[in-house]
Amino acid sequence: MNDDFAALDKAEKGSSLWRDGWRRLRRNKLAMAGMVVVAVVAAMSLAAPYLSSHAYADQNLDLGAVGPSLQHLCGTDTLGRDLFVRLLYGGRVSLGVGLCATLVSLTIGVAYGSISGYAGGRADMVMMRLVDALYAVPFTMLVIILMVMFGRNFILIFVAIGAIEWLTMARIARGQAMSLKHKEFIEAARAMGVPPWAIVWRHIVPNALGVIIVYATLTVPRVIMLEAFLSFLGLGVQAPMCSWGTLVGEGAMEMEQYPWMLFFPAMFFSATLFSLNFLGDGLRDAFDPKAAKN
Amino acid sequence: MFVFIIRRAIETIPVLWFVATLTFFMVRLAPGGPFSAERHVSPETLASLNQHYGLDKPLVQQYFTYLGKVVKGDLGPSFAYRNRTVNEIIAAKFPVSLQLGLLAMAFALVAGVTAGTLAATKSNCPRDYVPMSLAMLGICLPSFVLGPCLVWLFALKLGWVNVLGWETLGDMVLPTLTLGALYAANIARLARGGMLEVMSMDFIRVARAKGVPEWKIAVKHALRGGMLPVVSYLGPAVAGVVTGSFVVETIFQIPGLGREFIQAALNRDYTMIMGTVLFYAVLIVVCNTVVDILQVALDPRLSFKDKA
Repeated sequence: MNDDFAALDKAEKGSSLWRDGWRRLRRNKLAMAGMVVVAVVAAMSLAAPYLSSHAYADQNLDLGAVGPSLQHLCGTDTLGRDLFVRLLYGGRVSLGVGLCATLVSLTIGVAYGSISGYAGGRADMVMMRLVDALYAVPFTMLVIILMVMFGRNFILIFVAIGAIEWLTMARIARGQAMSLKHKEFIEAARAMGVPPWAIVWRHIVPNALGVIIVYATLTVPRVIMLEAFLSFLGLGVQAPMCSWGTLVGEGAMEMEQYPWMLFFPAMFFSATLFSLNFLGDGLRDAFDPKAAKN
Repeated sequence: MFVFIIRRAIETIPVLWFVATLTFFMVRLAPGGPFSAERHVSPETLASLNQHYGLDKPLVQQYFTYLGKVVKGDLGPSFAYRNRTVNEIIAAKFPVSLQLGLLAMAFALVAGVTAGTLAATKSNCPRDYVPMSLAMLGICLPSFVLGPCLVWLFALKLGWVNVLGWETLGDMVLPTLTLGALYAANIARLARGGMLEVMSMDFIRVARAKGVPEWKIAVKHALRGGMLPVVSYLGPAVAGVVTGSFVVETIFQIPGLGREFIQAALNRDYTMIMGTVLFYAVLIVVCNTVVDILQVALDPRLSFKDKA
């Protein structure tokens, strides 16, 4: 009998917003499949040195480009480098850039958006007008210039990408801040004389974070795509390092003779993007039910 | 509407100034110059080249000279193509990009709206799932993956079209598909959502009760309202097509402005870089304004006051 009560207690404690969302997410088969694929690809990329005896920069010019075999699971490129290992190392770059740039955009966007939303009035209007205006700036071109002019610096890539993607994040954070700021606990904090910056930092941001993180998951594939876009044009990471973008680019040049050089990177890349998108959509449906209809 | 257009034009000026200033200093503060690639140039020649293009003056003075010229619509001489101005190069190369962009947008609109409408008028059956799965595919496959794969299949294996070039109508099929796929996919999803919403409204039920055939309801009654989300997406879509054309023009080696921009960036052709960025910024603003006007025209609930 006591055990039953204990179990009941536990169940009741469990029915939080997060638990509910998690339950909804688990029911979404596509999103769960996406999560598994992303986890597998990420784990394989992290464990790359242990998964194969080849190194990503090891050339074997005598061998040249050969098709998939047991020795080289995905074949080799024109310089005789093992494509499977290069794909995993490329995954490190692509996923790493995706995460870091998303964090940059999250930080800028949340700070900007929540301040704007909480401040309201004229300050909000000016700040959001600025965001609207910045949407008109062809940022991709500026990033291309930045990459060409200042060398293909790894850190620069995600700072630049993060600096573009913060605009959407700012709009979402602003919306959250606007809906939160009239809640009782915020009024209470204000009545108790908590300074505005502390209200934003301690009450608005933590409460808005759930929805924001969900949208951040949808930003990751966009960022990965942008990095790959730069790398495809030869403006991203430099040889012998590689990302999925450079691998797709190299494959596109050699596809006539060595089609596997295009297919394996394209497959890895699109499978990951697919999964991230499904996962992000699933997370949004699970944790932000209001937006699920759209 | 004229007030709206004038307001928008005035608002655009600071944006353009910001873009011009940012590009100017970003390009100038970077190491290397337009003539540093030519190793064999003697110091005297370099000095006279710099003098000819005004690069020997202080940076701030160059900045104001450049702004003064830009205000008059003169984007200056190109550094990479001697004896040609940036205006001439844009005039020569942009029509190709415009053609590609218009074809891609037309494809995206026709395919997207058709697929979305078909899916919405018979939701939750194969006619819904098939186009919507294709749309998800279009969203997840970036152009630089889709493009090479299409080339491999249709040009190399089946031999239906040429691999490269921009002369015959056949040459334009693959680039159009590559560039338009993402937007067709997004439009299909938006059109489906918009149509589903309108199809559940009362006036549609009235039409049904009067015995109007289903396809006629969709096309004549629901389409106008259902397309509103699509129209508001057109602004971002145009901006996306512009930047997407960089990749597509590179893949298919189309002699358009996007490829020219990448080349200019690699050659450090200062004026060409700044000119192209400004040109595209103006283009995006103009397209957004047109989209806003279209929205008001289609949706009587909106007025230009909401937009301004």
